[in-house]
Order: sequence, then structure tokens, then C-alpha cells
Amino acid sequence: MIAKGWRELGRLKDREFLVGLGPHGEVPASIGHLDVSDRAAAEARSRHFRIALVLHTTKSDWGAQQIAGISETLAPYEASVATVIDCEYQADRQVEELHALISMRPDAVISIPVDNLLTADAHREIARAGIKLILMDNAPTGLRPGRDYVTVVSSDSLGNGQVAAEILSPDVPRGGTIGIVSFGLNFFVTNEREIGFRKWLGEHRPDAVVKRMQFVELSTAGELALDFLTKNPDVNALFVVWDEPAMEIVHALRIAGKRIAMATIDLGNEIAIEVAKGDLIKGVAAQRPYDLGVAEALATVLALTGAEPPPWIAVPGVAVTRSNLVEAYESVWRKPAPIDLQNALKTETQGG
Amino acid sequence: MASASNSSPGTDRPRRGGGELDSLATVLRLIRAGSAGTRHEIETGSGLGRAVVADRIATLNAFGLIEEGDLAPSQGGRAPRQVRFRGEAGYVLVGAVGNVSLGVGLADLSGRLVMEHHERSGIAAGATRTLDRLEELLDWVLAERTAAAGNLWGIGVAMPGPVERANGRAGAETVVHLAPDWTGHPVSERLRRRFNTPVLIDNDAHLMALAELRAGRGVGLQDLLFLKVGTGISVGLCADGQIHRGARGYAGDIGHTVVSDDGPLCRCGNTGCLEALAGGVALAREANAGTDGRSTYLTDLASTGRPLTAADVGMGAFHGDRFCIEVVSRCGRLLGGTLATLVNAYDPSLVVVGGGVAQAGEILVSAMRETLYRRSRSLATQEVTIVRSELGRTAGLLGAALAVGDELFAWDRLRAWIADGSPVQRPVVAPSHP
Repeated sequence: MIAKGWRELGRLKDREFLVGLGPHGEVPASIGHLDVSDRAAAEARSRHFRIALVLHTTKSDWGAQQIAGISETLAPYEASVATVIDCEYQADRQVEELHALISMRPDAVISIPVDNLLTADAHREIARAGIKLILMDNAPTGLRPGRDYVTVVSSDSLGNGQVAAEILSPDVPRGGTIGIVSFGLNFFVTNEREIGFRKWLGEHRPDAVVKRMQFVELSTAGELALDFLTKNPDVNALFVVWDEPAMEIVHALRIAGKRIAMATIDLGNEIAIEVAKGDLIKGVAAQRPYDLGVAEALATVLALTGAEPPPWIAVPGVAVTRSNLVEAYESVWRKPAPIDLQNALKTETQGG
Repeated sequence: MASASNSSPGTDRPRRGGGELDSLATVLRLIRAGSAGTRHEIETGSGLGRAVVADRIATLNAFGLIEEGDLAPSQGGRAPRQVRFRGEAGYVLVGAVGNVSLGVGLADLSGRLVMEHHERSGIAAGATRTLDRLEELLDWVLAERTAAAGNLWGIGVAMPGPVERANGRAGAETVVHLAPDWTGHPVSERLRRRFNTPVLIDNDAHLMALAELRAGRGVGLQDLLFLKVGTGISVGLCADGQIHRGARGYAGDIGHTVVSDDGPLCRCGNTGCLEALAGGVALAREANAGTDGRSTYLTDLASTGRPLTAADVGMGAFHGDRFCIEVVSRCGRLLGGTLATLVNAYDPSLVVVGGGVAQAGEILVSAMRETLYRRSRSLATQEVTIVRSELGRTAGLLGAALAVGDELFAWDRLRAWIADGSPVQRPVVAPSHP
């Protein structure tokens, strides 16, 4: 898909109003604002830009779709992904890899900072080396749009948090308690999701009590959640800030023989199956990782051909429940829903 | 250090005389300001002897306020160790209440923001609701960063209107002049009681100017003029590295200067105010006018059903919509005329343009620049540089953090707490100077 501009791209079918402001309070722009002119397209094709991707992980569905969105959008402009780096969530690894990229001298780097503080200097050095820097999800501490980076591209995380709250609310009785499983590191997107979730509750369910637990290591999320629920037996439902820790908690709950309504962010394959089962996961606010990749690629082409993309580009999420699972899956992942997902939908909802 | 029999009351730290406090404060201020990075430089800068400096560094090190780290270049002998101020020794909560946005953040003592969040909100929600939300968000920040909760040194809040400081001495109140339900509202007192920490409230243009000077486009300069173009229009002035607030704190409140005898009605009740012609309200009015088909961009946006704002005009201009470009350019030309007067009066090294409308991109600043140079032939306007802020809405938070730091480390206040190594255990007092 080549996005030519807001007229031809048309509307996204879901929420079009972007709720969240950027990391420095920027008003959001949408993919539709990223109009590559014929002149810019011709210039890009003549220059064969080389782009480096630096991800926290390439093993997630999110990462794979991002890479696909970026690569397929760059292709018609004869730009290519020169290298994909997996930092495995390690800040020092990312710093090392960014330093190495300076000698490789790609035309641009698209990077998701794994730690806003620890990787700030390394990201700044990329920009100072004259390499265009496009950021996913976070802006490292102290870096400024225009001076240090071109843009931050992310989901409307505040809006996604609100969607998750709306999905989970029916499972919380009047005066009930909601638990938030929050990430213990300072990440813009997980912060915004939690703030959005709480904001929706504050406006629509002021009766609900909110309690919170945090995890840092993904592998500990299940055990910590069980401990939290044991100490807080009044918790009626859980919001988890993304799907991977949510699945850790689902597994832990199943082993312990416990059940609780949950909602999360991201429509990974495992979570999609859980939504289909109609059991613990009541729904998700799904990011659109492929579309995020499209936005990042377009912003990169624009920056490399002399334009100034907006400093904050957001992509609205998709509210996903069992009732629209197949359509949402196919919209988010741009492929037919897998057979096991469709089979899981046919199975009756387990227990009450 | 003095013996335990000379401890300060209520602590096990030795009591210190006035001379010792002065030298502790002097050494810390030199290090914090970046004026002295080695023991030798501290000795030279302070006029204190080697043994005294060594003792004060040991004390400040024990307090966790400084640390000696990497080796500095040798000056012809053994390479000295660099001494640095530890900003992470304490934390400051910051807030920025705007006309259409609300921001919060957490900064360390060097003014570095370690966390920030901005959302759509504003003073129109009323003083009580806005402050409820501000407190809610500040509580969330402290819950996120538990280290800060136990080590909170102060709160700074930027407000979108003139802020008056009565007396400016201990026990004084800051009064905020905004919409009727804000005027006289005890903003700082409420936050002081809620968080049990000193609170500083100031006009947002003042604080944004400070942020630009110390951490933005004005780094290395001693003066600049910051023009905030948002819903309101105001100016922040920095001279000799400090904010110029004026006699009562009202300096820079230019939005309600009448620039046209037959302009539209302004929210202040007058007609023809600069703000009514070139501020965010004016652009929002134009945004709605453009939905009659003159602007394809705005017409299409309006069909989604959500209200249009000044930011939409800016984004439309950014996107190349001709109507939006003309509206933003017209706004820039009007502002350029006012700017010419200000530049002639103050002769700043630099003019930085910020605020919500300035996020529209270079179009606004280019129009201002062109008008300024065309309409004024003074030496000041011919030499001045006009640039767009790169800080965005972060500027208000950053300025608040820097201003709180300036207050905490102001001479009189610093001497009051330095013997304890931190002001956190001391009773809360109001700002030390107007």
C-alpha cells in the first residue's frame, strides 16, 4: 500500500479522533498528513535511501508487522531496510548498536528507545552525525524534535487506555475494584495507557476503586499478579498494559485455577485466541503495528527529501471484543484470521 | 567536621557557624552553576583555602549533593577529579496549566525532566476541577516514581495569566489573575497543604522564557524575548540570565493591547485586542469559517463531527492548505507588528516564538519575521534573530523546574537548609523573593 495523502488514504474505520498529545504536548498528526509529492517520490527513487531499524525485539508480532509496514512502504520509493537490529530490551546493547550505526552511515534510523535516559546520548549522536532519526513510541530524555529527531510515531496510547477501560467496565460491579498491572519502567506509551485507563474510570466510573501493582521483568508478571490478587481479593477485574504480560498472567491464573476478567493492549496472536475463547480476556485496544510502520516509512522519506513531517504522528487503535474479533484481526494484521482463531470462536464461552 | 556534642537540635549533625554555612553554600552554588568543576577551580572561584574546600566537599558529598567522578584534564600535575552537582539528590514536581492543555512532570534538581505527560484540558474547566485533575496527575507521578515521593523538594506550576506575589516573603500568597473563578483562588496554598512542600506559581510565558534561555534556543545567551502565541498572547523577558517580572509580576501581559479600533470582541470585553485578532480564539473562529468550502482540509475535518481548534488551522497550514496558510500568515503579520515595538524597546539577542499556535510550523514565524524587518528599520530589529521554539509544551514544565531550583538554591534559602543537607525535613515556606 502506498499512502499518497489524506484524500486517497481515506478514513480509518475506527476512532478517528486522536485523544493523546505527544511526549512534549504536541498536537497529533495522522498518517493522512504524510503526503509524499511526486517530486519527492522521484527524488527518493533516484537516491536509493538505506534505512536502519533498531527494535527492542523482533520476536513479537508487533515487531514483525512494523518491519513489514516499513519495508513495503519504502519499496515503491526504491528505499530499503539495510539492517534490522534486535536490542533484546537491553539499553546498553542499544547504545552499542547505535554507535556502530554511525560508522555504517545509513541515511536514516528508525528506532524505539528501550530506555529514555540511558539511550538518550546515543540517539542524539545519531542525529549529530547527520543521520535522520525517526522514533517509535518514545522520545529519549532531552531530545527535541527538529534539532535531534524528525518525529515520534506511536499509537494513540491515551485513547487505547480509555478503550480498554470501556471494555472492562461491565465486568466491574458498582463500587467494585479494578486492578492495574503497570510497567515499572518509565515508558511513554505504557504511562499514557495507564493514565488513559484511569481517566476514563474517573469520568465514567467514579464509583470504582483502583489498585495497582507493578512488574519490571516480563517473566515475573504472572507470579506478581497472583500475589497481588491473593492480597487483594476484592479486585474484580485486571487491566494489563500490554499483551505479553497479560498472557503471563493468564497462564498463571489457569495453573492456579483462578479466574478474573481482563483487558489489555495489543492484539497479539495468543491474546486473540484468548479473546475468541470468551474466557478471561474480555477485549483489547489493539495497536496497528503495520500502519505504524507505514507512518514511520513515509515520515522517513519526507525527511530525506527535504520536507518537515509533524513532530508527533499517532495512529488510533481498534477496540476489539469477541463480537468483532475476525474483522479487527484482519484489519490489524492485514491477513485472514487463522484457522485456530476461527475455531476458538466457534467454541462456547467457558464457564460464567 | 565538628564533634557530636555540638549537634544541631533534632539532628545528629554538628552545628555549624555562619562562616561555615556561608562557605558550604558558596561551594555548592559554584558547583551547581557549573562555574567550578575541580577542587582547584572551587578554591579559585570562592577564595577559600584548600583545607576548607576539602572539608566542604566532604560534607556536601556526605549529603549526596555532589560527587567526585572522572578525571579532568591535567593542568600540569596530577589530573584532578571532576566535581559535579548531583541533580538526582532530589526531585521537583512540575505542572503547566494552559488554556487548552494540562501538563505534569517530574524533574531533578538540575531541572532535567525525567517524566512528563500532557493532556487536553484547560482553565475553562474551572479552578476546582482543573486543580483536582492536576493533583490527581501529580499523585500519579509520585506513585510511579516512589523515590521522588520521599524526596520531594518543591513544586512549580506555570499558569496562563499574570501571577502576583504579595510581599514575596515567608507566609505570602501568590494570587492568580485569570477567569473570574480563578482570581483569588489559593492555588499555591492548596498545593502546599496537599503535598507539604514549597510551591512556586508563575506566569507561563515567564517560565517558558527561562526554559528557552537555559535549555532551549537561548543557551549561551543572557537575554531573550519569548513570545507565546496560544489561546492567549503574552511575552516572557529574560535579562541578565533572569526572568524580568516587573513591579507586580505583570510584565509581558500584552494580549489585551488594542491594535485595531474595529476588531472583534475579545474575551476581556474590549474590542480589537491583539489576542482577539491573532490568538488561538481568532484562529479557531477562522477554522470554523473555513468549513464553508474555502478550506478543503478544515471542511473534511469538520465532517468528523469534532470541534475545530486553532491547532487544526496550524496543521492545515503545515499540510499545505491554502486557506490555512493565509490565516496563519495573517496572524504572523499582525504579531510581527507588535513584535517590532517590543524588539525596539528591549533589544533582545533572540526572539523565540512558542505556544500552541507556533506549532503550526515555520509559516507563522516567517510571516512575523518578514513584517518585523519590513516595518522597522531600527538597529535592534535589523540585528535580532527570530526562531521557533523546539521545546513545545515542555517549555512550561522545564521553566517551572528551573525556577524552583533557583528558589531552592537562592542564597538566603540555601543557608537556611544547607546544614541539614536538604530542605525536605524543614517547615514549608513561601518563595524568598518577589
